[in-house]
Amino acid sequence: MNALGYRVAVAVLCTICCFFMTGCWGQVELDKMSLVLGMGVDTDDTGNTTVAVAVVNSPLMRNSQGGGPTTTGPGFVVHTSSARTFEDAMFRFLEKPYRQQILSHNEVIVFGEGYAKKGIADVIDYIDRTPQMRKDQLLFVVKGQARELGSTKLGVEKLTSRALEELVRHNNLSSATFQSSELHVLNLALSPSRTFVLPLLKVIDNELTLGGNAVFNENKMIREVDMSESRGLFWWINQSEGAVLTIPDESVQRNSSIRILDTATTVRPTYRNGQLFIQVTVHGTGELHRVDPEIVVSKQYMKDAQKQVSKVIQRHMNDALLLFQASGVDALQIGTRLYEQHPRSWTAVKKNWPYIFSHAKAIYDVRINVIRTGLAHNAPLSRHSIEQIPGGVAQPRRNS
Amino acid sequence: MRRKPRKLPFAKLNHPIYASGISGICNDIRDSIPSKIGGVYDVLCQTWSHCDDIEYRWFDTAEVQMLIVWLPPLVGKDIAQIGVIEPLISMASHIQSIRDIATHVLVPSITSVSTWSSANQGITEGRMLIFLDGATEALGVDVNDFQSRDVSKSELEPGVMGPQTAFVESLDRNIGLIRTILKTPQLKIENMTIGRVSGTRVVITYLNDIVDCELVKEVRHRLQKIQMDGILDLNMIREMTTDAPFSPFPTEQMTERPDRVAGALLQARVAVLCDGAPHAMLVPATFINNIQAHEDYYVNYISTALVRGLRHVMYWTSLLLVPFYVAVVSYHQEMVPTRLMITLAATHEGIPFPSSLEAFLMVIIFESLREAGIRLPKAVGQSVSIVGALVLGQAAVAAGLVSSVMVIIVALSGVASFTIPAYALSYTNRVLQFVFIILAAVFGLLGLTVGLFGLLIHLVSLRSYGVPYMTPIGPLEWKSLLRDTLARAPWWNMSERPEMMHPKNLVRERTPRPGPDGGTRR
Repeated sequence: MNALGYRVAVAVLCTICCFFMTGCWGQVELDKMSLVLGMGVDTDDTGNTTVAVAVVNSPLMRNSQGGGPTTTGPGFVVHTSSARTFEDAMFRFLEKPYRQQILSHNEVIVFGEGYAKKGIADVIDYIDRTPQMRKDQLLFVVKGQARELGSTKLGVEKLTSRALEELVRHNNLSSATFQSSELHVLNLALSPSRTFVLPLLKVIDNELTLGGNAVFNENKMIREVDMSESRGLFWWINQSEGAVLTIPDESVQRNSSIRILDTATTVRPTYRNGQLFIQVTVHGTGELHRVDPEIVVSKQYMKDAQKQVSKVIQRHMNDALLLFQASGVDALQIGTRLYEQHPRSWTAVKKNWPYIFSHAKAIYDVRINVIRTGLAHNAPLSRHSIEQIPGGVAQPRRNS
Repeated sequence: MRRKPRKLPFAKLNHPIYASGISGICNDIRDSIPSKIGGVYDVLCQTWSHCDDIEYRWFDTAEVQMLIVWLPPLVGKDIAQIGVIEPLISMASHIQSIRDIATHVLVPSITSVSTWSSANQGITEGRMLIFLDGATEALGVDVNDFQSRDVSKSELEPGVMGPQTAFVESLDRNIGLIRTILKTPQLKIENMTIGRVSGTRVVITYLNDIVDCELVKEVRHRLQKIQMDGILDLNMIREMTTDAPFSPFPTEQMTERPDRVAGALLQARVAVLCDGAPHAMLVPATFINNIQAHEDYYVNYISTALVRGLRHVMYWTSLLLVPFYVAVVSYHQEMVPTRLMITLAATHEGIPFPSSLEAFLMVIIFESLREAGIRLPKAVGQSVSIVGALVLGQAAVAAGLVSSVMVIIVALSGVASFTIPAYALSYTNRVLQFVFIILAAVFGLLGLTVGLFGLLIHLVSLRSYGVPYMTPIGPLEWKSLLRDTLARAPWWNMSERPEMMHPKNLVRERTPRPGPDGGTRR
């Protein structure tokens, strides 16, 4: 065989080999697939798991000119399947006349309250073992049934998943809800504390609302905390940037507020003589967000505001600690900190951790520096009087 | 192999060998011109039988007998009348030898012809051949006045800045265009005749004090190897002298701009021109040469960096965008952002073809439109483009035959291909695009990656007249890479010619860096 023939033979052989490589046979045409964007998991009266998937309604979304989405209605349809376990329910979709489901674009998984209380381990296990599913999909809990979300009002959004994402995004900005991406939740679920928190949704007047947070322990929903109770939790887990704190001013009987710019919470648990001590340090900066018109911003006021806001934060943190100590659930991730900083101590106490955590004592050191007055250091009404106008005296209006 | 007879310039008439008799330089006695004028006429009549466009004119006086032969379609009547016929009539009595004729003829270009093959070629080149009774040689007087196209603006390589002239089909005029740019005796023009039947004049041109002698020798050697009946265009020569005859990539650079040829000669490259072709072939040519545009050297070097970068991106876009889209929507949907995926899924709804076939059809339609636009007259061609682009595209989308995104992707790929300055390279991309679409349709991104690697291996294995095709990227030549590849250095910093061309004289210029103080020596 000459050189050219040899090269051709090698090329043909390589090409044939390519056919046997992985990834060559996964072709799915766009019009033969269902893009799954959201998933709802519930449990019914018989104990079965019901999975509802929201898939993009491509035929409805194609406009008459052949272009992209223009429909005014919801851009998705809900397919449901029910079986004894989550995996069975997913498998049963194949028995229905639906297009092939593409899970790689799934953005949210919503658990019904009932299912969440039974435990979400099945789902976590399934999504973790399904390589095409993204690790940044968001997890939620909803009061009632998850599949009912499909009929709620979505505002300008056409897809529930989009609406939920948007809800979380702008609440995350002001630290009103927890980061609930799958990867983050999975890390917390596998941490020594075995506790994580998911945003809790409520449907009020057929409208989606963020109604607090659901606390999970060992993959089961233990309790829910409302928005005000959640604040202390944010400080404990160092997720408070962008929060706006209201500080009461007793002298004028009105409120001003401070926006937290950045904070760093350090939790140092130590276990001595059968007692857990928690040294908590919160250092950060903030700015005046809104000032009552009656208040004159001065150096002294700034110092007072700093003290006030530090007190407020400490109170929130202590309330959260007491709340979770009463439940015996370490949602504050103290156990994880102890494991990271003193692994031997953790080994000694982990079997009796709920009890030890319930009796822990915390020492706080909270310092927030209010570094600037922001744009609202003086209210428009208090800023200028007529005498303050350049010239000193108000000019009489001329009659034309 | 029979050596081709050479035409001797008139100056060689004084050569001792020539003076001793014309037969001294004739190798083949059958090719020599007989001394009897009657015999000459017989041979001519036999050779040019059934050629009604040939004309014979006898001068039969008491002192001398002459025969003048020419082809009227190629000859200017005025110059023939004033320059040749009138002087010969008036001075007929003084003519004793061929040298006397040469003295009296009022035309600057005169060639001595001693063989039939050169005589016949002289006639076809528009010369008047003057045979004198008793002489075994003839005189070829250049009275060619064949009107070729005027020098006009470049159509294939248009530009806003810089010279605008382009080559025409006349070789002499093309050489003149180069001579007007490079006014030096170091610009060498070597004539060759290729084509047994066509007898096409081919010229090798180079700057003697810059170019590598081995390169000239190699070009000469490859041209001499051509055994062809007719050379109609430079591309025929290109195909018969190329380094990689089975490669779709052009290892030569074709240009129709004299300024570009001059620039290449200054880079120690060689140009080949051929009669009847409005192009020049520049060798060696690298991949980068084919991506560079002439205008890169005529606009600000900072802008050039951006534009060249864009052109490189567009080159790969034109080749890979459609296959990449096919691979992604068919196999790798997870790679696409969700919002875009929803749009893609919506636009593809109801399309009866799979994405790969849809892409194939669209590319074929696009290529057909492009081809039709080139072949048809300009006015009609524009209509075809408009009908094709607007009406067909819109109608196809509205009818649900193709998705609107696919139309955009194919159009974008087509627009990207227009940014490639070298037409030959653009053709290559059009062919390779189909290969990559098949690879993407069958194997997805895996196939695309394997194909791309294969392409890169092929590219780095190519050579052009001894210069690796991917120089200065592979093998890496830092100086060339930084100065004139992805970006262009300012002219005052391009002090050296490209090393890859092995120039005799590496230094290009010693201009000081300009500045408000009048410039500083670097």
